[in-house]
Amino acid sequence: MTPGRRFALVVVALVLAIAGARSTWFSSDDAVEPGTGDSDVVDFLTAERQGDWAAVERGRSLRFPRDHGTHPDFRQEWWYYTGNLRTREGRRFGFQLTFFRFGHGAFDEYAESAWRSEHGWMAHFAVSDVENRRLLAWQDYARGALDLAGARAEPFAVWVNGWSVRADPPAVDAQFAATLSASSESASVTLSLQSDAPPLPQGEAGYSAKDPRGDTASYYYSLPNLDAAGMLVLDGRAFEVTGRVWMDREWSTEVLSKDQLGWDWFALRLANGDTLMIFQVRGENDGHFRYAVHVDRSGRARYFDPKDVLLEPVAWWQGETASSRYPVGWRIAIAAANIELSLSAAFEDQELNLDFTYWEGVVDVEGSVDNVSVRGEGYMELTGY
Amino acid sequence: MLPLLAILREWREHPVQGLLTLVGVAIGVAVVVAVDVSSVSAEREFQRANRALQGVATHRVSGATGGIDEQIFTLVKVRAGIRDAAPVVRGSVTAGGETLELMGVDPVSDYRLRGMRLDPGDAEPRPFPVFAAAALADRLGLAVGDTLTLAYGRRTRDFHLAGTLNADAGAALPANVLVTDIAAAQVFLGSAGRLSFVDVRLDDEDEAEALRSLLPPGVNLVDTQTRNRAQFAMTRAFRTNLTALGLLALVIGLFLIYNTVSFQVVRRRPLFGLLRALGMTGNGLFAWLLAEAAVIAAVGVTLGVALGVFLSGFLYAMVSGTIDALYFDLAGSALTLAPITLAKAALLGAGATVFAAAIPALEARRAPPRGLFTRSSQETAALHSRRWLGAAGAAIAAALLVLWLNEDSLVAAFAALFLLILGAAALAPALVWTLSRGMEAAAARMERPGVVMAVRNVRAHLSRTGVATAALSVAVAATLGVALMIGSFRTSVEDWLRGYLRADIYISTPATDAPAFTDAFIASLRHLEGVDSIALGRRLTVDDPRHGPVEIFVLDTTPEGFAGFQVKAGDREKLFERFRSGGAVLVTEPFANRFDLAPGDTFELATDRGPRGFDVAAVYTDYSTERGVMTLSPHTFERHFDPRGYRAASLYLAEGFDVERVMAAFNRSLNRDDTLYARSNRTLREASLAIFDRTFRVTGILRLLAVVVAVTGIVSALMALQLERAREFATLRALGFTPAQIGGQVLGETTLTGLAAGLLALPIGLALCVLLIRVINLRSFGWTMQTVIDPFVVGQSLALAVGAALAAGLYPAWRLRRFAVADNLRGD
Repeated sequence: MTPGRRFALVVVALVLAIAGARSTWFSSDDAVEPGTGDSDVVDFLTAERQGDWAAVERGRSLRFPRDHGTHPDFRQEWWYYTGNLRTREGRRFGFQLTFFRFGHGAFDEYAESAWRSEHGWMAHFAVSDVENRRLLAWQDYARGALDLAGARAEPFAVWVNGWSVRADPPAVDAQFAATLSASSESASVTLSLQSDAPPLPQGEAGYSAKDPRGDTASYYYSLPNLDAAGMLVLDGRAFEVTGRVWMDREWSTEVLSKDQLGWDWFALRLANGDTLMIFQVRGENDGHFRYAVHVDRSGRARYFDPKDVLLEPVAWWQGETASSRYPVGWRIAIAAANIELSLSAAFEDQELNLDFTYWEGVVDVEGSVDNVSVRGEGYMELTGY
Repeated sequence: MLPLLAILREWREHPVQGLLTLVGVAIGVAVVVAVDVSSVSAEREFQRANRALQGVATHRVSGATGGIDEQIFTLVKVRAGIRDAAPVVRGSVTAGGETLELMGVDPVSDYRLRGMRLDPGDAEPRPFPVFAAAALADRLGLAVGDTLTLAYGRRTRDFHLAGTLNADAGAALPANVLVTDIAAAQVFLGSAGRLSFVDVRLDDEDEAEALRSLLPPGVNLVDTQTRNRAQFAMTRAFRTNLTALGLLALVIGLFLIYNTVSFQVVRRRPLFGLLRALGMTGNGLFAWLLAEAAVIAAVGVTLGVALGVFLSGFLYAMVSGTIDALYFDLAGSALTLAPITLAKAALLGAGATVFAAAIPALEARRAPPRGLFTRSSQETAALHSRRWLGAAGAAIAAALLVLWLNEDSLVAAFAALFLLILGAAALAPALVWTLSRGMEAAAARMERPGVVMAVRNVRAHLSRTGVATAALSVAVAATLGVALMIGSFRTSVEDWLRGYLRADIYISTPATDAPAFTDAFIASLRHLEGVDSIALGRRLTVDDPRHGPVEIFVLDTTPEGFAGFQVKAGDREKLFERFRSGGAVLVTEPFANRFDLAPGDTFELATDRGPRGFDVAAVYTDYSTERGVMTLSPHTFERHFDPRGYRAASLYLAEGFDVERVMAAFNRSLNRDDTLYARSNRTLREASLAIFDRTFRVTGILRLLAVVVAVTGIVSALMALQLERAREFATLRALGFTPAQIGGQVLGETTLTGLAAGLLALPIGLALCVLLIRVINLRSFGWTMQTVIDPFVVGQSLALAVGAALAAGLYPAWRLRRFAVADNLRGD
């Protein structure tokens, strides 16, 4: 997925929250309102960089397991898990568990204290209950201090307070095997994740540009097809679930141009075993920057020229409680691969009303690949509306 | 319409009497409203402060003696997965001579519990920010961005005011708390690696049990309810006392209203006789009188509420001042006029007024029209009634029964107190009657017809003055009882301080959590010229999961210093040895009372090694804290707790050394930064007594209010009575009495009434004093004290009663100077 507003909003909040103990108490009126001028965000992103953050450059090759861990030299970083789950009876759920790290520098005067932290962490946890057409979401924050939050490559772990993804014991013979666990006031999820496929580098061998000029970019890879099995508890009721989880990993220092407004991101799994990831960073005057990658069932990845990717919103939704109007139906076409898909939200109201408001949830697709009709499901994220 | 016109004319012609009635009702209501408003407001502020400090936390993770490793927070948050958990690092710091509480929080976890709005605005982030209640910022004269230099022990550092916190309906940060970032707090307080505690919100006991099982020994999970119960038990006693004084004001207010209103009816009996003679039915008259009472009530209550709210501003300042001295600064100063207060005021004012009017009105309804022209029927009825005596006896007997049946309830004690007061008040008319009979006989023997007349008049007017006299008695008795109690308490505290403070010089850190004395410092103290021996001490608060906060005192002393303990119970034999090395502990009276302990008992307490039993060897007198203290020797302490430094030292000087000079030497050589307090025995004693006096200031104010009400009552009753006697005075003048003679008689009469009230007040006051000391204080705070009867205070009370009554006679007597005899003789 892409950087942009999400990262920006979060950074502003966490800088306010932690950097130099510039604290704020999060409440809805504190959150930066999406769709407004966002001058704070832009100011922040175009301001002189605090500290000495590393720049994202072409040609740095990804290495594993090293790059599963944290990259504290870069200003921000995230671990993104979204999954489509089913009970044996076929009841559908979606979940999202995301961990964000933001570097903000710290005061030298606090050196004696272990609470001095150069990084702030945030996590979002959401469950989409497709049958009841409702989304529940929670957030948490922690300082990058005292092991309250962090990430490491070996053995792999990323956590914010009690929410975590931690590698399973080495006995498991897989490229990636970990247990994901999060628990909130009314839902909890514990899943074993496993993948035999190697990580999928995005962009140019992991260098993912966010605009045509290449001014902003991130390092980006995915694990698109994690097998998931475990337990989901909702309102005290436990469900045994299985499904597929998509993991996205990105780290960067500067990612948003002044003229960029937000982004749309799609991670889709088709019934024929193909996966498809597409994003667009929306610019002013329709100056959109697009990206798409298609992986067939044999694992062969095909990257497309941004010009060849067509994304067209076809249905909009604005609920009574929603803060914005979101495009919840899309036409997706990649002529070069003969892909023609129609995408719709599993249900419309999947807005996360947290300190930062955005839409992220379960979607269904149907259409054709190479003139063979196909169905599928996945996750969509809409920001900056 | 005739009755209405007649009543209105009455009011027009006697405006002073009418006004006095209204004033009586208004003041009665005002006192109740003032006490209620200030008490409710203080309570609400207290809760708001508590809410701001604790937020929605249900439990607190803390160490036995305060402080836990900061890794405990990671354990709570990451391993136990408790979402609502927030760490706090606290310390007492000083700013410009004022002691403040610095509270370091982790904003990104704290907002889930306390929800303070720490909004720094757009300012560039800087290290060492503080947030304060707007009230505190105002008091310190700080604007956002200003520098505030804080001191902690020898350290000082510039903080800056990053923002102010406004109180909301639910929470108000106390005006002695500064909030900062936890890293800043650790650095400044030198407590890197440590937390004061972690507040958590848990859903149920299962979750609490799960967390408890993860905590290492010496770290406890304390239920917030338990904490609050212990911490605010004292407040509860304080509030109960306040409520009791409010009730006392209510009783006196009732007396006052009853007296003035019933008098207003009795006074006009001839008018009612006339109305009845003109054909008005008894029921009709009754209805008119009740309607009149309702109007008086409405106007009086309205005036009273307004006056009460006005008075409550002053009273609240006193009440919150006491709370500030004892607990924490209440930031808010908004007065809360609760609907219940209004309801109480309306019910009291209207109820008492209508009731007071109804009794004489009923009598007027029943009486034959002719009978209304005389007033003897009611007077005699009142006089010879033995029912009053019966009621008095019953009330007093009930009071004693309540005390005998219930041994520890504070409410029962207060119930007994009120029964006693009511019983005694019921004796007032009988006492006045008896007294006047006795004086009449004496005066008759001495052939002083003027005195005989005055004395007889007192008796004759008893139906109009009886209740006012009773009210005056009760008020004077209450002030006497409270004054004697406070005096006894103060004497006891003074005696205790004299015995307890045996050393010559006391050295201490400015706050209980300031850095402790170093070994080198203690060694230098011992070697300071003129110092013969020293004792070392340290107070700690143990956060016990079962008992809540328990204060302990570690004392390293000599046998001479130990002799300062005034042992109330326990075997004195080899007590020092058992204390020093035998593991035995000493507890204060309030401590023994709070935990129901006696010598020989074992007290179980959380320690750094887990729960341990302590053998209680003796109970000693101590007035330093109402929550109680357990004193133990360093030997005993170190067996169960991690070693801690001392924060207080007392110096015993060798023969022939001057206290001031040794103190000067100390300040010069050992206290160069002036970060420690060095106080002489005398200064410390005076400071302690000053705190004592401040604590009881509010009681004094309430006492004063009770007196104001009672004096107003007696003045209005007696003055109205005398003003009414114009025709009688005219007759006396016509018979050749001079204005001075009649004036003298008026003054004599009122003085005699006052004297009767004052005399009756003495035994009631003494009984109250004993009850307050032996029962109420013991039950509230666990303190016993000697009973000291100060003759000066007794005399003062008597003088107050007589003076008030005398004052009531002055205006009517003065009016007699220019008295139109003929006009008044002609009558109405």
